[in-house]
Amino acid sequence: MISVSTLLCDHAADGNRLRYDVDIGADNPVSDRKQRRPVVVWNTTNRCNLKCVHCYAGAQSEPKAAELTTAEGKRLLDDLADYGAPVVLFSGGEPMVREDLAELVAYAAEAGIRPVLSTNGTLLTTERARELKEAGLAYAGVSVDGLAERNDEFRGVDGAFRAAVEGIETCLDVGLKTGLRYTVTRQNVEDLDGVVDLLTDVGLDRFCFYHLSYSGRGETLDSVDLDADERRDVVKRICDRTVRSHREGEEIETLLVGNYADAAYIVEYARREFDEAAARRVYARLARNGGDPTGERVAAVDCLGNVHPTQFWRTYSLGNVRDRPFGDIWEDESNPLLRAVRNRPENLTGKCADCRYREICHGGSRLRALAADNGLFGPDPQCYLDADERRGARPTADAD
Amino acid sequence: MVERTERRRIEDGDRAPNGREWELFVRSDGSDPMRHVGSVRAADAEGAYELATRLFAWHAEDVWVCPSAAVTRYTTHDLAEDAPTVEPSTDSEEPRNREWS
Repeated sequence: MISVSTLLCDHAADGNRLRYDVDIGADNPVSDRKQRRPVVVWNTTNRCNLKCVHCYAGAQSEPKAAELTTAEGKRLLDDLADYGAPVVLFSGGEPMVREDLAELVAYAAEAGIRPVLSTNGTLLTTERARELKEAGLAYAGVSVDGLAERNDEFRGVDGAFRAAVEGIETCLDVGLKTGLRYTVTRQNVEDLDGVVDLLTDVGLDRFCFYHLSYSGRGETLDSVDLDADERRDVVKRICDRTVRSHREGEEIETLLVGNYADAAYIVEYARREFDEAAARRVYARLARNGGDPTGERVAAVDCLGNVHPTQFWRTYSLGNVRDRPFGDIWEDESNPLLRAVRNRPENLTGKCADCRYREICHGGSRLRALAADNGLFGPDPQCYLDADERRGARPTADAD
Repeated sequence: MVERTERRRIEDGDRAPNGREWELFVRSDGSDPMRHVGSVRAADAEGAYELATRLFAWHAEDVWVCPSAAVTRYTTHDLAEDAPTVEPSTDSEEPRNREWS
């Protein structure tokens, strides 16, 4: 995740210590050891009450046999705590369909892992939101992918938009930190400002914008993906809106997720809109963050216990937590693929090989590179940097 | 010879939420042993092989794929406390030799 509001506006946020090594206070519980461990996305179930056309998990309405049980889930959380995972993101399918969700959230919090949630928001009743908050849930990200008509068409269920917005309002009412998750495509890019306006009016102040991942049902959606100009335009709009809102005293938090060409773009944006010193500060923070987190700072465990290099890389698993502890799987660099993925800047090919931003990008998504037949270490087809941006002197990272 | 290790049998069945899961083995040189390098998700063996080569062709000389559901696993790792334990035999030792290590 790239925090636009932190990089361009010095917005203070809970995740900054993990992302940019920015001190957010003496009571911050994230230890140095935990900074080196991945955030773990646990796709707790493959079941979902919606039918989103872009679902990366390919979720279904029927339960999959042999999903991790409550007892197995607690053992997994013990493993993650022993390994030092700082955050577990409960995801799905739709994690709210698991009746033991609050129990697992409480167990994670008790074990010292920060529990957060990714949900479609439609099942966030007052009772369940309060139950999750009392269990220790630190954050609930709610997916909305357009205004009412477009969102419901995307999600395959009438009324999903209204239910999600009500879920967000419910979280705000019970004091549970919440934010928007918006996957930007050619079909919904026009609705983006309208959704942000609407949710700002109900009191939301955190907005995460996702680039489309080519996995699950999203694998077949490359025709609705933005082209380079459209992508550059929407990222600029998000940057502009963030800067404008902070100048006007609205402390909104905005993040871009899933395409690390955005990191390079934000450096260029800072140079253009502010000055060279600002660009160097942004670069320095991004250099600490390290670029696309696949296989390094993000891990995923699916509902059957398979460990993936990210939650989007569903077709390849490093191992299964029913066979070995998570930490053993994640540390096993006898796996040549894992070793090479962690050493990407040296392995990148094509236009990435001599790109001045490869240290803060890491070549972007390996999944999209594979989907475009560019090879495991080839360019991400979603990269929208032009040749002038890719070449030239690299900003120094010693200016923060 | 060492004492027999208590292991649990992991529940059988496919390990893919969608499609089929295939255990993946590669070696980079003919003189090396096959190495387990995780699993891939594909509809059939040809699809699994195709995916495996896209991920490991730069490294691997030989590639084997095996249906995950065809593997019966016994492990000392106990993620499932209620998994049936395979009782170790009491009248013999396990024929592993750790004296060399």
